[in-house]
Parts: sequence; structure tokens; C-alpha cells
Amino acid sequence: MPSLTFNEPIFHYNISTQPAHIKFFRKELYPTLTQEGKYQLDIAMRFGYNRLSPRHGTWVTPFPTVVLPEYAMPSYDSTFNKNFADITNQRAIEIQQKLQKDPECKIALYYSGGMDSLTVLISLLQNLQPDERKRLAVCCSMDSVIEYPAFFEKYIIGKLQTIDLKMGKIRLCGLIDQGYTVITADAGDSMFGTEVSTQLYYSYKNYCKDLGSDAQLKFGNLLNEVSSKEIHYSAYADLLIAYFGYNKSPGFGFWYYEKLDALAKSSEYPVYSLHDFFWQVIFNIKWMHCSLRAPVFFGDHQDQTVDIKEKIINWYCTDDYQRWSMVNNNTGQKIRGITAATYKWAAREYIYNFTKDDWYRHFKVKLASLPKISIVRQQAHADDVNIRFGLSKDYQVLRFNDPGVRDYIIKHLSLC
Amino acid sequence: MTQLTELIKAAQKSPGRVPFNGAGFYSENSNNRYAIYSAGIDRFLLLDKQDLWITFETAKILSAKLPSAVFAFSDDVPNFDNDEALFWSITNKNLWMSENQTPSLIKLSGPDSIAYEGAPIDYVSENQLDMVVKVQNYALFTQKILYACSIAHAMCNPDDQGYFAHLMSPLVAKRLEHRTDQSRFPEGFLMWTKRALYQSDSIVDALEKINKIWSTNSYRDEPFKKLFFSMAELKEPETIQSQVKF
Repeated sequence: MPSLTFNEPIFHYNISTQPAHIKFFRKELYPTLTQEGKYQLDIAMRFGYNRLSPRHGTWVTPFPTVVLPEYAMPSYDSTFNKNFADITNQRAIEIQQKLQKDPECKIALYYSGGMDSLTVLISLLQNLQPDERKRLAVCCSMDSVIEYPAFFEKYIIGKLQTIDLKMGKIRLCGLIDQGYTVITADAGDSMFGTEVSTQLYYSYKNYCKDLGSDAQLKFGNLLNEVSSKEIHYSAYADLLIAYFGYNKSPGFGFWYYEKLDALAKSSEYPVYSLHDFFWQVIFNIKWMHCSLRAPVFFGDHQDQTVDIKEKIINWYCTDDYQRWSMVNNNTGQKIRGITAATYKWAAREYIYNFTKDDWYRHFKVKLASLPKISIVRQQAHADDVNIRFGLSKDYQVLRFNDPGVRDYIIKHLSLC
Repeated sequence: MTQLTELIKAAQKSPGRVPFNGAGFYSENSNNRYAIYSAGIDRFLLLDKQDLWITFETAKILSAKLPSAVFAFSDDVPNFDNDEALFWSITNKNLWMSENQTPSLIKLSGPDSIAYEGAPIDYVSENQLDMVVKVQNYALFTQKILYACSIAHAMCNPDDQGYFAHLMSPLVAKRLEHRTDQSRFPEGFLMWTKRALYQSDSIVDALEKINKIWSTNSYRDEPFKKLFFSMAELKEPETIQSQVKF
């Protein structure tokens, strides 16, 4: 059983809205905290969870965190010019080399039917030899089928080995224990950076209307400028503060906006447009969550050292993908409009070049796919997952009832 | 006689006798309207005035192409027709966020709940606009076929054994062979038609598949076929017409 001492930094922490968290954080701790401490917990109430830790720049966390070396951010390179397709194909070749080097190696791909995992699968199909494809298993569930039935029927069922995740009963650790190296596409959203912004863009007019006629005049025309190199994100400040607001915590919206503003100003990569502003949230402070949720919440190994270092390949966690992301925010590669069917354009094109499917290209929207194929809530492991607090810097999963963890949380939050 | 009437009335006092309150989903003024809405396009695709469940199933089948929601309009929601649907949208975008590929049903009320917003904002090129109209055309086609085959099935298949087999314990369905309809298809014509609609790439593709389903010539299937093709306003394929003999 791991333990924590007060000064020890951790790789990852989790404050969510699960019942055990509500009981501990909201009911027990919240009334005792300073305003800063309360706002840190309010992040979870407003956005579903607070699992935010910086890989770069200024962002104060409630607990001391260090960047997990495997997921460190590469340096910014303004001259980076590799394209998405080449990077994606090269990634598949790296997997191929792994298979060629180790004849016993077998790969399991978490496939949700969404754009990120579909891009990975297409890349593997295009770049692996037939005998290498026999060592690839597609981990999926009925949700994967429903998200893109035509592709499943044409390219997967009866053509590739499939592993039914049985709606969460088969866990990541089970696949690793069977000898698989698991590929996840979890960091795809972080790399593209569109996920955080979509809700605001979609309901933009509603927020403007709620702010009054002056705001409607001021912000109305700016909806089409979210990716403009001419309009700084601060032009949207009032709207953003209202958007971030949490009605049970006055001042939260302003506090959160200021934090993101400080993060933007302390970053070496450009954060100028509104789209840049949202992108940095998921690319910087949410990256660790996206990359670690598979081992920490969808797997059950206590010691994650081998899993994270050797057994899990986070497809989009490469320097090339991240450098591509840093220089392509406003080039039309990630976002081409306001509606959800225009996001992740580079992935759409990559997929279309293989499938020639106009339906998917024009109408696919972002769905929360991974939680559907790796369901936690209705399964036997849910109770344990719900008390997981984070990951120590020794790669140990931490739970609320581990020695020292509760005291650690209380002491650090009270010092906020 | 009066005593018998009183006995009946006394026995009628039982749970479930109060009619279902369908307010918001079924109009008391015979103004039922159900609209399929796509968040990705941010526009309605079609408006139906006949049947909630066929419209809902249309959205389910359409989910192979795009996710959508079905809105049940109350009487005070403005009206539009299918030619105008692509120019209308919901005004409160917080009402429904696309979280699932499969549709959900939502009540909608209020004169300001929808608004005319013009052509879909992000579909500006000729190719993109073609696709938007194509998905609408496919939705309307799917709905018509569903109406036709559902009614044909209900009229021609009074012994839908498959339905009843599944109301029994699983052992019954497992042990006793049963049919879904009078056709030769193992899972019935209705299921095969839905499968064709779900998996087809276009209306032409769907028609080819549907015609293939009916390419067998069987006297037993004839009433069902004729009714379906007539209600769907489709021409029966030559192979069926030339081979059927009475």
C-alpha cells in the first residue's frame, strides 16, 4: 500500500464529482478552506473534475505536481513543418519496427469508432504488412460499432482480430496481463485542442444573449473570428468570464479566466486567438489527465511503472504530434468553422483519403467515446475507481484510504 | 342491466385507467410535429406530422451517417415544412449537446424555441451544401420506407411470432422455431429493410438492396410485396413482376 508524505510531489491528482469525492471534498473540506482552496474544488463542480496540472508555464495546483517524464511537453519550434499524414504514417512505422524487433509482441488497440482511434487504425492498416496485422487486436464494444458502423462492417469484423471489452468488464490491466502492448488514442483530443471550446462555440449566441444587448453587439460578430490571427482572446474576456462562471461560487469565472490568462502569458508557444486560448487548456494542463486516465482509471494495476513505461503506447504523445499541434492552431488543420462537424480537419482528411466516405468526412462529430467502451460506473470495480486520488511519483495508484493521503489532501488544500 | 353496468363501472376502478398524459409529446389539437435535428449541422433535417416512433426510428437509422435528436414540438412552436427545415435551428443550444451517436427524444415548447437562421453556417462550398441536402434526402427517404414497411408488416403479418417469442423466457425463443413474418427472410422483411437503410451509402444503394430483398418470387410473399411497394411509391423490380403468377 503506497503512502504520501507532506512534501512529496505527485504525477497526477483527481478531484471529481463522484459520490466519495463529493462527500470528502465538498461536504467535509470545502467549508474549512480559503477562497483559493474553494475555487480549486469549484473547478471540479463546474467542469466535472479537477485533474489539471501544468506541463509548462504558470498554473497553481492544489497539490505539488511534477511532470511525468513520458508525457513531458517538447520545446516549441516555430519552423516545424511536417504534415499530419506523414507524422501519422511514421508513427505506424514505429509500431511496425516494434513488431519486427520482437516476434512475440502483440498489439491491442482501444478503438472507440471516434476520429482519434480511427486515424490510428487506418494508419496501422495502411502501413503494417498482412502478417503484422495478424498481431493486431481491435478492442471495442457495441458502442464502437454504432459510432461508425460502415467502417466496422467493411474493415474490422471478420477481417481483424477483435476483443470485446464487454462494456468495461475487460480492463486495460487484463489486456496487459495477457501479453498485449496496448495502444490508446487518448491524447488525440489534447493534441487537437478543440474539445474544450466546442460547447462555447455551439452555444455562443445563448451566452451573448444572457449578457444583454450590449454584449450581443460587442461579441456577436466575433463568433466567426475564434481562429483569427487578428483578434486577441482578451477581446472575449467578459464572455469567457460569464462562460466559466459557476453560479454557486461568485467570482469563480473571473478567477478561472485570470488563471488561464496567466498560463497563456507564461507559455513559450503563441497563445493569441480564442482558439489558442482554449487549446492551451487541453494541450497543457489537461494533457496528463488524458494520458493517464487509461492506466489510472481504466486499469487496476497498483504499480503502474511497467504499464506506463513499456506496455501502453499513447499514440499521440510524440514530439512530432505535439510540435504539429503548436504550429497549426489557426491554419485550418484543426478547426474550419464553428459547428462540431468542422473540427479535427486533418484527421478527417486522413480518414477520408482511406475510406472515401463523405458522410464521415462532413458529419462526424466529437463524442465522449472512450468512457463508453471502458465503462466504469456499472461495473464491479467502480467502487475502487471512485476512491482513486491520483498517481504518486513512484507510479503507484493512490487512494483516499491509503496512509497519509487524506492528511496530504487536507493539509495542501488548507494552505491554498 | 343497470346492475351489470354498475358492476362493470366498479371493476373499472383500477391503476392505469387514467389515460396517459402525453402533453408535450402528443398534441390535443392534432398538431403533432416531430423534428429531427443535427447538432453537427446545427439545423433541422425534417419535420414529421404523423408518427413519433417512425420519426424516432428514422433518426436511429440515420445515426449511421450522423448523430441527431428528435424534438417533439408543442403547439406554440413555429411551423416550417421540409423544404425549409435546413434553414431552421433550435435557439437554446444548451438544450441538447451531442453525447451519443444514437438519438434521444426531447420536448420543445415556446414560440422562441426555434428560429430561422438561414443556410447552415459552416457548409458553404457547393460540395458541402450538396452533402447537407443529400443527408436530408436520405432522411426523408428512410422515413418513407419505414412507414411503408411498418404498415405493410402490420397489415400482412398478424402472426408476428418473433415478437411473442421474445416476450417469453429466453428458453422458449431458443427451443421453438419461430418466424417474424410470412416472407422467407429469417429475420423478416422489416428487419432486412432496416438493415439496408442503415448500411447503405445512398438512396440508390438502398434501393438496390431493397429490390434484392424482394428478388425471390414467392406467391406467399406477394400481398406483402405489393403493399410495401405501393405505399413506398416505388416501382416493383421487373424480376418480381415477370415471375409472379397467380
